[in-house]
Amino acid sequence: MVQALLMALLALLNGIQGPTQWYLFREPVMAGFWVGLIFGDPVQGTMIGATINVSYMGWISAGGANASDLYWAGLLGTFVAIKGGMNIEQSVAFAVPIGLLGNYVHVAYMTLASFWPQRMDKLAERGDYKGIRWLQVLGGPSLVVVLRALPVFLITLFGSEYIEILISSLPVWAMNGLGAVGKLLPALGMSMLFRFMYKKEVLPFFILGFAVAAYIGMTDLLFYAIVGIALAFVLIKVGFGEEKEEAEQ
Amino acid sequence: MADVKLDKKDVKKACLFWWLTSHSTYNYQRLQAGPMAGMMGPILDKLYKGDKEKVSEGLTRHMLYFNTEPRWGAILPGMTVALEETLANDTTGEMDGAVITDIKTAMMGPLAGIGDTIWAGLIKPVILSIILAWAMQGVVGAAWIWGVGVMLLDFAVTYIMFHKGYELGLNSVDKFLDGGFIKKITTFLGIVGMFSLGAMIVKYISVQVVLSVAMTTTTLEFGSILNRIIPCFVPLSLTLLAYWLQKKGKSVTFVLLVLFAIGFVGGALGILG
Repeated sequence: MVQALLMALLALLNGIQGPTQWYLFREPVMAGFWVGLIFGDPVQGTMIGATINVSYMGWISAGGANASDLYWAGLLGTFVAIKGGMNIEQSVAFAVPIGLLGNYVHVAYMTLASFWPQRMDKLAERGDYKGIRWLQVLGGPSLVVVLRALPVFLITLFGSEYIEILISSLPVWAMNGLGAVGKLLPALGMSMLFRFMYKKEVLPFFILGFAVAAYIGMTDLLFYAIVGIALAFVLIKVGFGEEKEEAEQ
Repeated sequence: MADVKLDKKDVKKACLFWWLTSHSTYNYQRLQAGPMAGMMGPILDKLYKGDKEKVSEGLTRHMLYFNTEPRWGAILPGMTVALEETLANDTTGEMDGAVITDIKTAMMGPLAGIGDTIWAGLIKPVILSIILAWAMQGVVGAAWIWGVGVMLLDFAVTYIMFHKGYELGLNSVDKFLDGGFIKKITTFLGIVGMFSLGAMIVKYISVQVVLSVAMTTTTLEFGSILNRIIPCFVPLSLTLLAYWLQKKGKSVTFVLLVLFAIGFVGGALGILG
């Protein structure tokens, strides 16, 4: 019970998004150390965590999309390895499905957290910046308690086979549904930007950017910045957009 | 307009808030809008001496979609603080809130790209590879070098970049207020911003039609048929749908729920994925 509570606390710290947590609790090598400490063998935990960590060396979460969940792969991977008495190689193999499961948790987090900006919009209307700051500090962690700390508590309490039960209890269609939502939701952010930046004379550049990315498959945004700046530089020199200025005056 | 200047303490506080909470409510809808607005709160309150209407206007401005790399990209929130300071003290009427949003939008993508490349693509893997080799041999201290050492490095980079951004934002102010320059810069950034936004739709919205129907001789894959008409047809049409709904006067919450329903039902039925 004490161990389950400590694991839940660790899962909370592991899941909160912030620089102190990222380095001290999220990276599998540190998560492994803490799990090892809870179960009495920090050295073994560090070694398992580090081994799992290797497969996540190139891990990157650009725009909130990630392939596999770094958070739980290290945390629960080490837990399963220590409790299940697995060797380090086996534990790495086990960390992969846990990471995939954790990915759904991440998608759920990112989706549920999408409701906070709505609250913040209301606070912004009222000029209540303190409210926004509190929501910013507590909004994410409160979701982590439910989405990460609670499941980890239950998993630790009822044993590692709970992971399999959890996976099989979620119907495939629900998993697919949530997956599609996660992939689709950035469209909202894009549409809001589009609405804000839309001006008739720069619309062709939107089409141009989309066409280049969609047809050629170039999605390195630095490329678009460089080309965009060069394009804009030349066009401003030849007087692009100046007619509009005169028309307004 | 009031003549209120920010002091070093205000900038440091904003920087700390950015560092600690830049990802705290990270979400699919607006990513880092929350930390941006939260960070600007006390700044706006000071600049406008608690004028609720002005503060609210500024907060709303910073609740727009924002996403950049939090360390090297910290130059941008730093710059935004300086730009807001300029806006509050502007008497020429040349500066307006839209310029700030244009600058943020045009720069966040490239800065995210540069930052991710330098940090996640270069610095992090190099340090990790050394540390993991030690940790795998059972050196617990190696894990702590990562935990504490790299965290401090993270803070140092963020702190320096944030303050650089603030200085840059203040110093380019004179240029900003030259006649006609703002118009030019908005057109300039509009071109770069819209050009990038077109590509961002392809990069960030990864949903596709996955429905396929097995015929007697062949399999009909609707996704690839759609993509043959226009590649990334689904992301583009969903973005335009969301834009159209907002232009019709629907609330963002409504659009969010519509998109959620489309995604969940589409995914559950095996049409989208």
